[in-house]
Amino acid sequence: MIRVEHISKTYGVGPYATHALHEVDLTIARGEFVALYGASGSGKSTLLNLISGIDPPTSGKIYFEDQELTAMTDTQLTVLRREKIGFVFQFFNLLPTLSIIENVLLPGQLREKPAPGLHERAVALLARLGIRDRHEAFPEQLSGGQQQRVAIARALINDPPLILADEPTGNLDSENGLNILSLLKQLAVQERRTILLATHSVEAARFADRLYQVRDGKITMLASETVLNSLYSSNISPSTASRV
Amino acid sequence: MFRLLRLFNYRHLRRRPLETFLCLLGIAIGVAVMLGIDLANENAMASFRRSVEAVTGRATHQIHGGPNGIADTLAAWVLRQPNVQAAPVIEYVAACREADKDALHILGVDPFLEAPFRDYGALSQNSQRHDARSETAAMQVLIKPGAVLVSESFLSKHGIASDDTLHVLVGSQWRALSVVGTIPENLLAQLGFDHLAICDISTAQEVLGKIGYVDRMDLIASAQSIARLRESLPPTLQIFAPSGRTQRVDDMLHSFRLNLTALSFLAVFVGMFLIYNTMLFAVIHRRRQLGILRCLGVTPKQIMGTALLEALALGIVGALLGLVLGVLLAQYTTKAVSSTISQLYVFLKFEGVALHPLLLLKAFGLGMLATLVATALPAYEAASTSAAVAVRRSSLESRAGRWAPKVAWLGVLWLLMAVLAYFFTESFWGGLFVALSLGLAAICATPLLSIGLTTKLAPISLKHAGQPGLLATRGIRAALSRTAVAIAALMLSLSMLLSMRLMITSFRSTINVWVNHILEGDVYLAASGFATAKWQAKIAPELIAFLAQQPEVEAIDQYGVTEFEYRSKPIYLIAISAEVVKDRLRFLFESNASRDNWARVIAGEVIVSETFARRFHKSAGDTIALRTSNGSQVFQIADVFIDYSFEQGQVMMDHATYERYWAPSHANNLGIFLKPEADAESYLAHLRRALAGRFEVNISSNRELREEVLRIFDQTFAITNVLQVLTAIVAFIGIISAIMSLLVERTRELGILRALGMSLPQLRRMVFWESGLMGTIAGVLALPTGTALAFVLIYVINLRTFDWSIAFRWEGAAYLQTFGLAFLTSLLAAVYPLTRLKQIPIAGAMREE
Repeated sequence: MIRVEHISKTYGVGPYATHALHEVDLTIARGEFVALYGASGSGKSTLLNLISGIDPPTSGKIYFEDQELTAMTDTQLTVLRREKIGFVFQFFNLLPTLSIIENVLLPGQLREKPAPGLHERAVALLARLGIRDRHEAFPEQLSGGQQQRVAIARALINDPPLILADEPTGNLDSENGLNILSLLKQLAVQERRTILLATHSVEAARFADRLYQVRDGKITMLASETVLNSLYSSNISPSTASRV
Repeated sequence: MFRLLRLFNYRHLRRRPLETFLCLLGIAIGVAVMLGIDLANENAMASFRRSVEAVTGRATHQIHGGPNGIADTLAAWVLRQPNVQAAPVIEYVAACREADKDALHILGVDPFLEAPFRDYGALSQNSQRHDARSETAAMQVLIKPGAVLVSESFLSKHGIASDDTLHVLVGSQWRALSVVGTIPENLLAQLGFDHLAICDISTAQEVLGKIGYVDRMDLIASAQSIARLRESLPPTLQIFAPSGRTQRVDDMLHSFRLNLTALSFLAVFVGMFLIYNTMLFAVIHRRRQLGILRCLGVTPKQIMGTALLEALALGIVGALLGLVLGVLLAQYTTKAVSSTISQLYVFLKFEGVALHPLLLLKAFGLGMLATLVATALPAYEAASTSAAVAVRRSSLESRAGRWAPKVAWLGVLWLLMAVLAYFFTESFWGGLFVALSLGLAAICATPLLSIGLTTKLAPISLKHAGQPGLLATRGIRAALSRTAVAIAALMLSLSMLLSMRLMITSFRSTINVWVNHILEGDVYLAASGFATAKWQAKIAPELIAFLAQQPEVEAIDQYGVTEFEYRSKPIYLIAISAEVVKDRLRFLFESNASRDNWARVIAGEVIVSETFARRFHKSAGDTIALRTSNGSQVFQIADVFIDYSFEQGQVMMDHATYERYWAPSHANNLGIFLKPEADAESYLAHLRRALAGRFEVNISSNRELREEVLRIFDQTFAITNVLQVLTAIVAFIGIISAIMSLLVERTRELGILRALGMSLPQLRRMVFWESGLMGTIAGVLALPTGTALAFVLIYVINLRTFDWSIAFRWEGAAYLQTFGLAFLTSLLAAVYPLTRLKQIPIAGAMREE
């Protein structure tokens, strides 16, 4: 579904240049849950931004369902983001001026012709995520966990095949964090959505099928699907496993 | 620490050059308008003052007589009085043919009595220039008919030789004067007065058509001698201090100048909005940094201090810029004000713009004060930023939302103040306070009404502009502390434009109706000398006799104006041909008893204008006592008539009455009524041919005169239009500034929207919609506010200032134009911010919190 070929990203020029990513290759299939693990500033978010077409790479190519992102116009990229990608952010990024239901509806209503039954779908999503009764509230009236669930509902409104989650648990307590990760796992397993998770928490990474470490702009596989599946089912964290 | 904070502010301003520039422009325009008006007022008056000073000399007092001046016999009586030095004077301002009709101030004096009074060279025995040539000139002035001394600079400026013959326009005829010498520059140069001509009093009487009269007697005497003289003075004569003349003109121009000053204050007021906007944005932009500073131990006092210091720095730069712009603006305003005053009140010679340090200081100080006042609230906001608020950007907005109803209640309070001021004050300033209170009430209501309107408009926006439309309405509500200020500034400016437009339209339409009633003659003649000599310019009796013999002429109304005083206030005595007008003009009388009124006027009663009636609390049936040649005389007021010629008030009477109580009557204008069979157009052409070269008169057909009246009316309001445009520019800048700041502040939100799939065209639509909505709200609020202000202008301020009754006239086009302007302004204001949308960093925006 996603193919990243030799991409590099450099910010600034000359002596002030910062190499955020260097010659990265990555392939993700439909329905996979892939985690990018690394410290702050390692380049995880940059990779997510490149894959979603928010930022262009300095060199290399990115393919989304065999379409080359780097050759797309701004409008095409916008449509791609709107219809094929759902975003979940660390700080939820809900619009404070819109109610919960309006926030969820937003990406759907940005389409030139909103899909029929959009409102019902939004209500159903909120019900599934356990926050239907708060649909008329405003973001500031919700807890962090609830806000992140709204963000997930918003990410799903256009039924996108890819969910990009950038530190989705970074601003939540551990219980809420685990709930959100379980939810993402469900989306991958039950609905065959592709999840690309950026995290600095190894605990979060155990929900993934594959775990990559991003360090100094380079990417290396840390654990395969088989290892992670066994860790997930045995409830042992990758950090514990690596110590063992 | 303080130095670091100053650096923090300075770098912020440098990083936002456009906003800083817009703020400076707001201060500068306010200061410039104020200075432009002040300099215009001051320079216009200074020009008049200079001419008075130049011809007053060392006189301690002046004696004035009746409308035609002081008869020779009375002048001789004054000269005989002990312990008093006296000198007769005749003054006239005439256009000079050889100087391209430039004005020449003619002063007729008695050379034998002049020395103690004025020091103009050849005629002064104590002059330093006592050479053979100047003595010859002095002799010639005495013995040569029509001889005159003219200031050197006037002659050299127009390339006239010192022995040429000059032709000056006296009323409706050119009169010749022989230059026999020059007046040296010394005193004139000091006074900045360079267009003086001096002749012997007898020459002045002859050339200016004042045989048997002098205009006034100048006196040098002690207070005791003046007191004794006053006791024995004949009833027709009055003693004044020389400053009295300037005072009278000051009184005459009082309302006119007051209105201009009020307008300039309004410009400063609107400018304050812009300053408030910018300073508030500066605080909001730096809220996070301010929070960090508070965390690091900076006290609220220090933050407040640096914010005010920043305002002070901006105020200084903006006010200095304003002074430069103001001086440039004064070139136009002084010309416009001088021209209007010259046309309507008293002749003023435009002599350039002199800078008055006190006025510069006043404008600068007011600019600084306005900046500091406008910054007070944002500075307080900055100081009250807590460390925790650094992570809650919306705190100010939620506070603004909660404050909206309270601010609206404040608006109700201002409305109440307006009502109270209307009922309990009578002055112009009270009227202005009514308008100001009304404006403040509208401003206070703006936040709440904006919330209400955006709520109402949200479904419409969603329907027509989709999600961007809904976000636009929510955006306005979400940033109420800024959007409401920008909306209020635009609303106030538009209200002002609308109210002025409605007032001017109503006034123009009232004038039109009035003109249709009183201009019924076929042909009108006015002495061309009016341009400089005003009502001293009289139509030559020979011309009237010539016209009376014309076979086409059925009747002539002779309209004679005399400047007069009633209860120490300037008024006008108008002599008309009552027999002629009684069946021909449709005067607008309060009682509607037209025919009866004219019969009473013919019988010796008077009619007074409504401005006179209001100013002096008189009505039909009352009496007024006027100073006549035979002492005080009581006149019965037959009726009150509506008139817009003079705001000072008029007492109108028949020529016979005027001649009985004052002096031989005269005419400044003539209204000619032709016989039914005569063709007006061909007669007009015939008259122009017949009078060419013989008389200098302005001949107009009925249509031309009506057009001229409206042209003068429009010209009077020209300066108002300029001020309105400047104020609108300030409001326009306010909207641009608000939208720019909103975009900068909402970078994160816009980034998220872009990430979620909002395309650039959708983003542009959202910004356009938001800006358009702000304009629409401002437009909607401006319509009732502007109408209410127009009512205040017409029925309160105008009535208290000019005493004119104006009929309010609805003008649909004005409302459409105001609303259209609001919408267009707001859309135009969005153009520049739209170009910046592409630069929004999506990735960076999303990670920010």
